[in-house]
Amino acid sequence: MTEQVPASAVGPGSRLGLRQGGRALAGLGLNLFTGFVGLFFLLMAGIGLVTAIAGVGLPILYEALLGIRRLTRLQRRWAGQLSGRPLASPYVGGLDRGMFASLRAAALDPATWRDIGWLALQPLVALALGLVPLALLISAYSIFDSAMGNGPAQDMLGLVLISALVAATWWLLPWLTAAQCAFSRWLLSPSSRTELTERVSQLFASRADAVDAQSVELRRIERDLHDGAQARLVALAMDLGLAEKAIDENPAIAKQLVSASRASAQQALADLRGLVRGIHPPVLADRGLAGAIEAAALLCPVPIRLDIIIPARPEPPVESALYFAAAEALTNLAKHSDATRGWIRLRYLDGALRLVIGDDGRGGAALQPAGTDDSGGLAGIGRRLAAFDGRLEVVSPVGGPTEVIMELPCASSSPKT
Amino acid sequence: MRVVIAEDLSLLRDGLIRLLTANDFDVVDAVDTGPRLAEALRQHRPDVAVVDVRLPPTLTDEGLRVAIAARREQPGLPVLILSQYVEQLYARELLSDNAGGVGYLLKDRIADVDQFVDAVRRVAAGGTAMDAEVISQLLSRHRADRPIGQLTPREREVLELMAEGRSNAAIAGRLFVTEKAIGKHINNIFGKLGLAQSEDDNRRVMAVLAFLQADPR
Repeated sequence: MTEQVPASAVGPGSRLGLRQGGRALAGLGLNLFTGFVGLFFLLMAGIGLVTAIAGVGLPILYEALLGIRRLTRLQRRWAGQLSGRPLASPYVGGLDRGMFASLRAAALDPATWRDIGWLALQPLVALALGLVPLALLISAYSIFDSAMGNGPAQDMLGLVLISALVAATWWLLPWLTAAQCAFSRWLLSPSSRTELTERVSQLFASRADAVDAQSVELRRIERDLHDGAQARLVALAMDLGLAEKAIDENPAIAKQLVSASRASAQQALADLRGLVRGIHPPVLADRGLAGAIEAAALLCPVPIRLDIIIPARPEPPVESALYFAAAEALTNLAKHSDATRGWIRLRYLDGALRLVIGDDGRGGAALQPAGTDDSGGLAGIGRRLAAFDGRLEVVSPVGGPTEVIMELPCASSSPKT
Repeated sequence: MRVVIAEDLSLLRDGLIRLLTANDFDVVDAVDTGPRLAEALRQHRPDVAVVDVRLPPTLTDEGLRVAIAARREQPGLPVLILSQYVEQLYARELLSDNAGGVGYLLKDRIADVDQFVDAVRRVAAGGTAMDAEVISQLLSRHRADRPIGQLTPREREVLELMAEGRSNAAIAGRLFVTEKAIGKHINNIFGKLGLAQSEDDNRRVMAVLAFLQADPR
């Protein structure tokens, strides 16, 4: 997979315009600056640490840390912009929870120690990389200064040499910039370990949510069966038993009981139907996500324009998650939006299914937990999607329009080749 | 009247055969899969087919697909679809050829034998039999302040029964009023909804269904 790098990025092999060349040169200068300011902070932190025993050092250490974080943020932004790939912030927590707690957290955060490593090395790296173009340009200038004006042949040779040196500088610039960016990335972006830790805690939370949601769902099904179909069937059996007894002596009563049993049977069927629909709507099995969303839109009191293009049917769990999310969003739309029209757009893009449900209603919808009902509401949709690494976003300025955007990574929806 | 039955659960298939035979239908074939249904419809050209929406081998909406395909081959071939649940999407697809002679009922309705037999006869005669649930879902999409909201409760009842495909006489019997009163109600309904009247019962039903299925206004 190739990464998309913006045109403004500077890297090996990229052709430099005047502006980018200027930026690259300025960047190398900036690195010298951050390198030496970093040394100052390093010194300050050292003094703070040594005098911490006396107590006065702690505020110095804290200030030094704040400075270091500000400096590394600047460096990250620079490297991110020039390489076209942003550097994420690696810290476990910020420094905004009181001096002692912040210092403690920072000391335990591996990113702090990597920062310090960067502070120590950055002056050397920046110097080494910055000196290369400087040396080349200075030698070009000295040729100009000493060799020029001593006759046409030497002038010619000097000119060629100067051009060669300037061209070499220009050609080297992207490489130097890339080296500087790579160095920053090495120490200042989250280590793979930090990323893994974060990922694991994310997965842990979403798994817990998924397990929770599942057990809530099972309990709901059990309760629905118990209070619904099961109770109706008990009543039905009772009525039939009574009818059996009454049929000889009092056929009129028996007939009444039989027709009551029929009503119970029909009600039990209706209950079961509702339950099945909540577990896995048959139309989803029949027609897949596109058909099921179309069917749900048909029940909405607001006319919905459909625009669904997906290359193949996604995995059943993904289908089901997106379907229920769409159904919930449609219910919200019908209940709260006051809209005169709505739209649904479903696409497969960059390895993810992207579903947008919008309306021209009054807006102001928010991602708030839906009271006590754990399974409902937009927040419920969000949790459901999170179990699949999905994402939910609600764009709903007051006055509308509202768009609920859901994204679900999904490999199996790629076109079969 | 010759009828083909398609139902994969033998319990229900035998029940349907018994029920229809007892009511003077001639069950010419009873099949249990989609492909066999397609074959039976081609071979027997029945007066009406009673088809379960879910059939092997796919156990999805196979019955519906086969029925719609058969109606493309034999336009107007009367088909009554039975299902455990109703789906507007399927009702729309069944009605989309505007040819009449279609039904779409919950399986629960079989329990009321007289009503069910009446529905099969109606479909065979080129009429329609839409489940009450289909109609009430359609109606619930329409907002109270729109044309549907201007109907009186009684007119609404008449509209629902008419949309299910029942004749004026049947509606009158259901509501314990005269056929003439029903005719008057229907006139009012068509006036309020802005629909053109028609002498033909089936065409009237189709017009009402089309109105209900259109985007809510």
